[in-house]
This record gives sequence, C-alpha cells and structure tokens, in this order.
Amino acid sequence: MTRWQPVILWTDGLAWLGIMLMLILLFASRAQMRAGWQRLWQQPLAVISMLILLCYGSIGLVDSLHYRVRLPAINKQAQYSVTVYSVLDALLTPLRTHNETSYAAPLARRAFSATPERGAGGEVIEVRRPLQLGGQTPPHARTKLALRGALYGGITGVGLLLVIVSITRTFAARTTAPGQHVTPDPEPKFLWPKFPWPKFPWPKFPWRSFSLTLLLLSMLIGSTIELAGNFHVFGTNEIGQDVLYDSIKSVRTGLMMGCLATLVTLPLAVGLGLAAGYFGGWVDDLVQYVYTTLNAIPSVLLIAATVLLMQGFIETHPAMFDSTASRSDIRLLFLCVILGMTNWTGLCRILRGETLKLRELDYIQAARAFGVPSWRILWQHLLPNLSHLILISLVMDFSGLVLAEAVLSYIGVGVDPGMHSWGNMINAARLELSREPVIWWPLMAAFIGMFTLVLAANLFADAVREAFDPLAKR
Amino acid sequence: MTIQQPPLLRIEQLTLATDQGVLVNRLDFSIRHGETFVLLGESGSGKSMTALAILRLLPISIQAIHGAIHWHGENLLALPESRMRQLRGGAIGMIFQEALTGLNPVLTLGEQIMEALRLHRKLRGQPLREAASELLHAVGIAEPQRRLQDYPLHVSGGMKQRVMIAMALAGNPQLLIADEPTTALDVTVQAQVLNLLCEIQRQRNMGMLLITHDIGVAAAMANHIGVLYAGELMEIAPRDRFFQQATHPYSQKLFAALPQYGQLLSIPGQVPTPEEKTTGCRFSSRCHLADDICRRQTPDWTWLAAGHGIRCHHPDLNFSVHPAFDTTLFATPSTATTQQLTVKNLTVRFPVRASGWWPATQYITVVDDINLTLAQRETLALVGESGCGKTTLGKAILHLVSPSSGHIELDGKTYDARQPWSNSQRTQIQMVFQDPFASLNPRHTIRQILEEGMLALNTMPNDASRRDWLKTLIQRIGLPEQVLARYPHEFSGGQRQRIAIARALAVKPKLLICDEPTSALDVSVQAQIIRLLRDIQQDMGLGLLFITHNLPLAQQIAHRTAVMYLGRIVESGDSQRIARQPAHPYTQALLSAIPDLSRHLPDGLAGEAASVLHPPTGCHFHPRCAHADTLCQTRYPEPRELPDGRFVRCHHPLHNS
Repeated sequence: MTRWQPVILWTDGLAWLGIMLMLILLFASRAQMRAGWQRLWQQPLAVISMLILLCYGSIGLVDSLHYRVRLPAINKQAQYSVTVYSVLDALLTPLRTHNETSYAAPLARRAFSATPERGAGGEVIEVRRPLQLGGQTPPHARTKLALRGALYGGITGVGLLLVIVSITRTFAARTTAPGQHVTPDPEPKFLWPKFPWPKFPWPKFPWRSFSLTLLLLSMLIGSTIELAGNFHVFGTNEIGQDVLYDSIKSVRTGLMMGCLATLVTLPLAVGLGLAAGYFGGWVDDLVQYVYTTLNAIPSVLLIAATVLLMQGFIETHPAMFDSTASRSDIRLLFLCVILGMTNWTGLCRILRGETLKLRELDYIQAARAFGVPSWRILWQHLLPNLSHLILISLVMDFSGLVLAEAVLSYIGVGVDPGMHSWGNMINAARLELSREPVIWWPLMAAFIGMFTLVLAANLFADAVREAFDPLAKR
Repeated sequence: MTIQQPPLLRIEQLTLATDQGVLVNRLDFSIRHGETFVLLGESGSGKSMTALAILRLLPISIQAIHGAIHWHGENLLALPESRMRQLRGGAIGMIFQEALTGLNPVLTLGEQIMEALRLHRKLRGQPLREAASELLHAVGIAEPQRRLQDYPLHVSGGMKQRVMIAMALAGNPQLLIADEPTTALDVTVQAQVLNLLCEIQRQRNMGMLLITHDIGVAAAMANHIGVLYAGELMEIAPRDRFFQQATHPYSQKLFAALPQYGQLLSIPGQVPTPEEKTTGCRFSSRCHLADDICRRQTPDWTWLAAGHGIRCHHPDLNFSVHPAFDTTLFATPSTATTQQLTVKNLTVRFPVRASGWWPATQYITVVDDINLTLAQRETLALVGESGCGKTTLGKAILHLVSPSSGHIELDGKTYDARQPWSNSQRTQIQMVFQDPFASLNPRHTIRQILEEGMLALNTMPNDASRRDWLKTLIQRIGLPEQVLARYPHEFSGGQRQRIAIARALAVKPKLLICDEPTSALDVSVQAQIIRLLRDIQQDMGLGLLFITHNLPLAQQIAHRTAVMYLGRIVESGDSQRIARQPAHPYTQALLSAIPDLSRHLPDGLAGEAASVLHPPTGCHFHPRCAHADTLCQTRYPEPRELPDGRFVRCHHPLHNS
C-alpha cells in the first residue's frame, strides 16, 4: 500500500492533455513554422518573456499533480484523507503550515495588530506579539538571508546555464553530424557546429539576455527561498495564511483559465471559421448567424448564469464530488468552458475572412483542379497559411483570459471562493484597503503575480506577432 | 528650336540607396518644356523611385540620397518641406499607376478635384466649381457638372484615370510625372488615355516624365527615351533615333523580346536585385557580348550623336539580334486532326445576390453559349479585354467554376458540363495560372507542390517512378534537381511560373489551359516562358488553350485565335488571317489600339466595355462600333462563316477593310 493515492482532477487531466497536444502540434508544424520560430528566438524580449512564462508554467504544472494521503487504516480498510494536496503543496509545506493568527506585514517579526495581555504589574497592555515565523529571528538577519539566497541562487543559475549550453551544443552538433545530409537552410548560420566548448551555439540566439535573465531569476528565487524559511515574505492575510503561498497557488488558477479557455476556443474558432470561409453558402450563413447572435448576448450575463447553475448543481449533487478540491475544480472547468464559448467569435471572424481571401488564390484553385478533396485542401493548404494568425491571436487572448478570471472572481461569479486565485485575493482586498492603517500586501502580491504574468504574455505575444506575421517588416 | 532654353528639370548624378543596396545609380537626364521624356525599364529597374525622388516622397528605407535635381535654379533635394509641399501637385503634378486606389472612395470626384484647386489656385465658391468642371471637360469627361457629384465607384477605370489626370492638372503644372498611367487599363482605353495626355501636353506646353515598361507606349509618347536597367541608365536617345538604331545590347534585346516587334527572343537570366553587388556593367551577366572589361569596370557614357549616348564598352561592336532562329514559333502545322476537346454551348451564369436564404432572382451571364474545339498539338488563343469572361471560360472548362449549361467533349466522350468531374477527366486537362506569386502555396516545398496532383489523382502510385518523373520534370523546365527541397519564396517570378507549368504537367495532361501565364512577368522573361511552353507542346503533343489580352502575342504563338467580347466569341479562325484582315470591328479596334513603333499615336476606341450586368441590346458591341445601324441595335448577329473559313458574329463583317 502506497502512502498516497494520485488524484486526477478534471483540469489536471485537461492541462496535461493540452500540453501534449500543443507539443504535437508544434512538432507537426515545425517545418512550416521554422523560419518564424527562428525569427522569434532572435528577439531578446521573446526569450526573456518566455523564461518568465516557463517559471509560471512549471509552477502551474507542479501544482497540477494532485494526491491524497493515506490515513491510519480502520478495520484494515485503506483510508485516504479528504483533503487533496498537490506536489507544489508538498514543496511549500513550511509556507502552508506556518500560520499566524491574523495579519502580519511583509518580513515582519511581530504581528500587525496588538492583542491585549496582562503585563508584569497585572495591568492590561496592548502588545504586538512576535510571530511564529520570524519572531525568533534577529532583526538584522533579513539582509544577510537575502544576500545568501541570492548567492546560492546565482551559483545554481550559472550551473543551469552551463548545463543548458552544453545540451544545446550537443544538439547543434548532432543536427549537422558528418555524413548527414544537410538541407539548404534559409539561415544556415543558425546551426553552428565549429565552435569549441566555451562558445555558445546558435550565434543568433540572444544569449546575453538569456543568461542575464536566468541569473537574475535564480537569484530572486534563491533569496525568496532563503527569506521564506524565516519570514512571511509577503506577510499574512486575515486568517494568518502566508500571502506568498496564496499568490503562488493562484498561478495555477490563472494559467488554467488562460489555457483551458483557449483549448475550448480553438476547435470552435478554427473549425467553424474555416468551414464558413471555404464552403460558403448556407454553412457560412449558419456560422455567421451563430456568432452574431452570441455576440449580442452580454458575456458576463452568460457566464453568471452558467456559474450559478453550476453552483446549484454542485449543491444538489454532493455525492458526485468526494472532496472540496474536486468541487471547486469542476466550477473552474465550467468557468473555462463558458469563457471559451463566449470568446471564439473574434478569432472565428478573422479566420473566416482570411479563408475567404485565400480560397480564391490560384494555389487553392490548382489543388481543386487536381481533385484534391476538401478536407485535404483545408488541412494542407489553408490551415498552414492561417497558423500564424491562430498563434498570434491565441497568445494575445491568453492574457485577456487571465485578467478576466480576476474580474469575474471580483464580481463574485468567478472561481470557488475557497480557491486560491488572484481574483479572490483582490476581492478580499476590497475590505482590507478600507481599513486604517491600510493592509496593502495581499493586493500587492496579487498585483505583482498577475502583472508579471500578463506583461510577459503580452510581450511574448508581440514578439510572436512580429516573427510570424508575414506583413510585419523583416 | 528650344535647345538654348534651359531645361525645365535636370537630374544630376542621382543616387538612391537603402542599407541593402543601391536602387538608382548616378542618373542623369533632363526634361524640357513641352517635351516628353520616357523612362523605360522593367520591374525593379528603379524607375518609380526616380519619380518619387523628384517629388521627395521616397520611402523611409531609402537612407542615402545623393546628387541634385535642378528645378528653376533650385535643388529640389535641398528645399525645405514647406516649399516642397507647394510644388507637389502644384508646379509638379503626378499621376499614379493605380487609378482604383488613387482616388478616395468616400469623397465625390468633385470634392477631390476641388481640394487640389483650393490648395494650389486658392479658388473659392462658384469659380472653384467652374474650374473643377472645366478640368473634367478638359480631360474629356461628358457632363462634367453631373460627374462632380459622383463617387469613384460610379465611374469606370478609364474614367478614374481621367479624373486623376484632371487632379494632376489642377495646379497648372509645368511638369507632369506619369508613373505607368495606362498599365492597369485595357488596350483600347489605354489608347484613349495616351491620346488625352498627348493633347493636354501640347495645349499646355508642359514637360512630362512618363514611366513605362512598354516600348509601344514609349514610341507613341516620347520625345526622348532613357532606358533604365537595374538602377542605371543604359541608353539615352531622341525618339526617332532610338527606334531606328537603338545601340545598347539591352535595348536591342528588349526590342527582339517583344512579340509585337521582334521574335520573342529570350534574354537569359534575370534582372539583378539591388542586394546583388555587381562590379562592372549591370547588364554584363545577361549580355552575350560581355567580356572581362564589362565585368570589371562600369562603362561611361559614349556619345554617338547629339543627345544619343550609351553606357557600353562596345558601342562599335555590330551585334545582330537576329540569330538563326525559327520565327514561326508555335506556328508548326498541327499534325493531328483529332479533336481533343470540344466545348459545346458552354454557359456560365452567376447569381447577382451571392448568398442568402432566398433564391437569387437576377443572374449575369459571364460566358454565353461558347463553342470551341482544340486539337492535339494545336494552340488556340483566347483573346479579350478584362471582364470579357475569358478566364471564367477557362476555369469553367476545368470545372473550377460550375457551368450552368453546355457539353464538353473530351477524348471522344461527351459529358454534361454541369456534372462534377471524375479524376480521369482531371488528368487530361490542367491549368497554368496568371499570377505565379499566388499560384504556389508558400508553405509547401517544390516537391510537395509538384507531387500534389500525382497523389490526388493517383497517376503514379509507385514512389520510385514518381521520384524519377519529378527529376525529369524539373530538369525539363530548366531548374536543377536540388530546388525540390526549397520553398517558393526563394524563386523569381519567371522561375515560379516554370514550377507552375511543371505542376500542371506532372499528371501528364493532354491539354493545358494557360491563363495569361506571362502577363505578370517582365518582357525579357516572358519570352523564356513562351518558348518553354512551345518546346513542351512539341515534346508532349499538348493542346494549348492560351488565354491572353495580348493580341500580337496570340498571333505569334497560336494557330487559331478566338476573340471574346462580353462573354461571346465574336471572331475566330486562323491567327494569321485575323492579323492580316480582321473581320469584326472589335478585332480591328483591338489591333489598331496597340501602340506601334512607326506611328506616333494609336487609335483609341470610343467608350469602354459594357457591363455584363446590363449588356446592350442587339449586338453587344454596337455602342462602340462606327458601323452600327438599326439592325445592330436590335439583333445579336448569328455566327457566319467567311470564305476563308473564319467565323464572325457581325452583321457587317470586313467593313472598312
């Protein structure tokens, strides 16, 4: 009997499935997109934002491996805990377990508010009690801890860089191994086998930006880890939970929102857009009527209605959900689905218009003259020529969806109130900001988490557009 | 006569360069009052850049501008922008190539002309309106008062170009720059516009800089001609001298490459791009006279006569453009008499309302009751102006457009044209499209492009034999085998068209429909493609349906010609006979509208092609026909056979000829 039992929540499965699907798609289209990817990885901003997105992505994925812990057996029957943890929870156990009684400011040693206590002379005095975490640490330890963490992080970063460089070097050398046929590449300099060890492969790759970002990120992470062992880096919230933990856990919710909603959007927009544009006639009419109608309904109304319906369903069928995690998970899933359903019209419209234009081009006509079946024209001729549009609009929509989660949770039709999410943190901050003195750190943590993600996603989207848009200047 | 008078505009050592390369190199020429200077060049020769440099409207990517442009004692390149703004559209007027995009679609013609008048002549109120309608009248637009209220979408292409000319004239320019003013127009309308430009120039004693790729237009308009090649002037000469004794090898080869005037001599290679850094003469890579000095050293001007100079190291070498070469080209007598393809009563109609829940009520007939035959090894040219339905007819035969009625006889079997095609029919007819930049999927390799038809039609299921056939094919069109792994963007227009031809040939068809295969290409490349088609026709015994708007080209390459007007074939028969003695007035007009080297101006044809939406009653051509009578206005003529075997649909064939 294992000590734990894996739990696959709906969104977990879909997230991993989505990752796999994306990798397959990228692999399948690598030949057509090669020039675009090469242009993309020549832009420093793309590399920097991709590194940051990778950090977020790995947090989200580690947080998507769930399990339940085995409890002591009753009547020799295996019993598992009702609480579902993720691998991230296990990694962040100190953050999760060091709870205070109430608010604490970032890196504070004492509680934020004073509690009454009996003094030495028996009189009642207001005292700000030392915190469980940070209370025992000497006051000047913060800088020392931060610097030491940065140093450890920096060393790890350099090591990581060396590993990456050596891996890419072998890769670059392998792709041009002697005797192997080298196809004439539009940019043959991209593969560069001749350099000895300390040189970086791929001379067009912005190694300087990459190394600098990697170094800074690992230093930041290093000092955060060092500090987090002794302090609440972002303070605690009303019930004394660590805000850093809260905002790290929110990453998964934001990412899920962006990715799963996209996953719902994609087949609808691509399928219907291509069909409408290529076949025309009644198919086109039907698709257009559907998305015009859908656009006429305020999406917030649709989302609110669905979420409330879902809530009712969950409450009337408690037997279907064996844990709170699966309950809030199914609510998240439905939110994603409904966001996707209301979001596909824009991309669909673009794809329909572009297909209408491409359909008349002579190479499509030539394919028709050869009797190439419609599905193959759609798959081989139209889709590859639309892929840059799809990629660009997906990356651009992603940040919008992350923000949408925050807004929807704020107005109360978002994710489950018990779930960690930036939207819920912001919702809670409504009251905290009206206090005196102001409790500013939960909002700031949510802000930093979301801002970094959305900014990186937007910069990446910009770089993707630049690299893949045939009309953008070269 | 006015030799002593200083020139209106003098360009001195003009050099334009981007960071990629030099676009225009050391250009020298001048334009006098009342004189037309024609800048003749192929695409990429830098002729439009020169025009934009005079107006200082160059794109930002041009980073280096050297030299001087002298205008009334000032250097235009050094003037402040505010002064330049007065000159643009004022003393220097400009006509752009695309009349369709040159006018703002949401403003009336009047508003656009009056804007120019307000700016440059400071007119207001009633005089402004009068001046605008005078201008429209001057460019030959009837009822100018009414036209002022019209929007650009209400008027035809030729009319739009007239309005553009009127706008350019609004500032009473001393110099008119016309950048390919007639390239987008049909040949009959082109003749009208050229005549108009000439007349206006005479009236106003303007200087004119005309930019064109068409030697015929140059012959019709020029006083002086400058031949531009890859950013450098190769030859500069007065008109008459140029057409009597063009001396530079490039000029001579250009003449020889034209179907109208030469024998479609093909110039090997292609125009070097600005990025290719060449030393020596820019033309040396394509010149058969080139020797070491040509490749090493840029030639300087050699003056052969007053105003006639060339930049060539061998001005005295007598070079013949008539090497031993069969001038008959496609006109090899057709050996087979079996009809490969017979089209009977083919009609294509489109609903006017494109889609909707209700059935369409109104139809336009784009291809109307067409009959034609095509034998093995035969070339049939289908000639007509834009909008006559020639492309639709070609696509309808291939079932890319669904015909509404008719029959197609292929290889002895008759099919209802409305039935979808089977794969066996598709292997017999294939098509080469007009625009080589749109006809190859940019995301597919050349191998994928060529293989597509074979895989779809399953003509060659065996992998090894397919690979061998691809190799044969790619060598047959004159490209190395390695290109199979490349993508279309690495090839020039001419090479792409070769690949498009190879794609059609991959399934070994018996008939090939070529839809204007050379109209998007430069003159010097056009001949290469035509010759390739001829060779392939002879090798494979193909029947060719050659769709074109270029009647002289059709006469050169086709055994038979069919002339189309508004969806119907108005004359068909032996190409040579039609060329010598056109029977239909429309064919006569087409022939006489082609600018030719001896005469100064071609004859235009009044009016423009009628709309297919509202075809005229009776003979479609009668509103533009000089010989039309009441019979023509009421009844469409039935086809009648002339004694020499031609068919013509006219009540008064061979009138006036």
